[in-house]
Amino acid sequence: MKIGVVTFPGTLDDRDAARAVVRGGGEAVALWHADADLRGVDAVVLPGGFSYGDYLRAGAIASIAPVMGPVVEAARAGMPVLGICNGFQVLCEAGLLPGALVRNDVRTFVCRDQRLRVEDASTAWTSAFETGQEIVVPLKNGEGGYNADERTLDELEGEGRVVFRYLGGNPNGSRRDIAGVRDASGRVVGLMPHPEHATEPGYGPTEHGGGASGDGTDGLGFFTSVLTALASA
Amino acid sequence: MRQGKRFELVVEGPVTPAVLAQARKAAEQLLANPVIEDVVSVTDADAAGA
Repeated sequence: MKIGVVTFPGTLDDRDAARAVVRGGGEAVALWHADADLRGVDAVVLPGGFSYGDYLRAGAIASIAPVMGPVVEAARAGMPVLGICNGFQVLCEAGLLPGALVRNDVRTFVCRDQRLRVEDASTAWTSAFETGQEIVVPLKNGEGGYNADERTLDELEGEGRVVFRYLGGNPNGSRRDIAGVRDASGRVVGLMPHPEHATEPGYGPTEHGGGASGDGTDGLGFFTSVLTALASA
Repeated sequence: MRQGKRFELVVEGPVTPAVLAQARKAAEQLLANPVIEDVVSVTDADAAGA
């Protein structure tokens, strides 16, 4: 299965995301922001970083980059798309996911091994987990505060579309401790923490016992889940 | 409280109501994200004596 990893000018985590795809058993395909098509991929990862230098707003300019036309079209047709950190911001700006990310309430960049609760293990990117399972992956952001109006937040909760919640303290002021959400189909998922940095023993989180895996590889499940979703599609 | 942003747009020719309407559309659809930001004012700076 081919998983596309998009690089925008200013993207940082495309290499790690591509490596995570491979470690999960997929084939990573590099996509460029100026691409007009998706090179035949079966799913897309929008990685973290500072696309276009965060000019205007984080993710705002990337959301209207040429490659996002086919990404939005494919996502609406059911292609699995994962947005990590800046990629989550891009998905929100593109209107594929509700809400927006604002500057951390602590006013500083936050980097730490973050405990999360998987609230929904039914999505294309989380089926390798159990609903309610605790995992640990790195968190590193300056504008990670998830915001939406009360009605939207109630809808997300009511429809079970909160996919991840922060545990052990809310690091950035996200409403209702929300770390990640999904679209109605469960195939488009966005989150601020970084599963792609937790896929290889010795290079992932070491705090909190290295997470559920015990060796800092809790993020691997994202990349095996999508292969399961594609195989059953 | 969060601080706001101010954008100065330069156009060729006179600032007609149609041009202002275009600027307002840009403000509402690109320059501001309505989830977290409000468009407060779109005006012709020259006409306002600014």
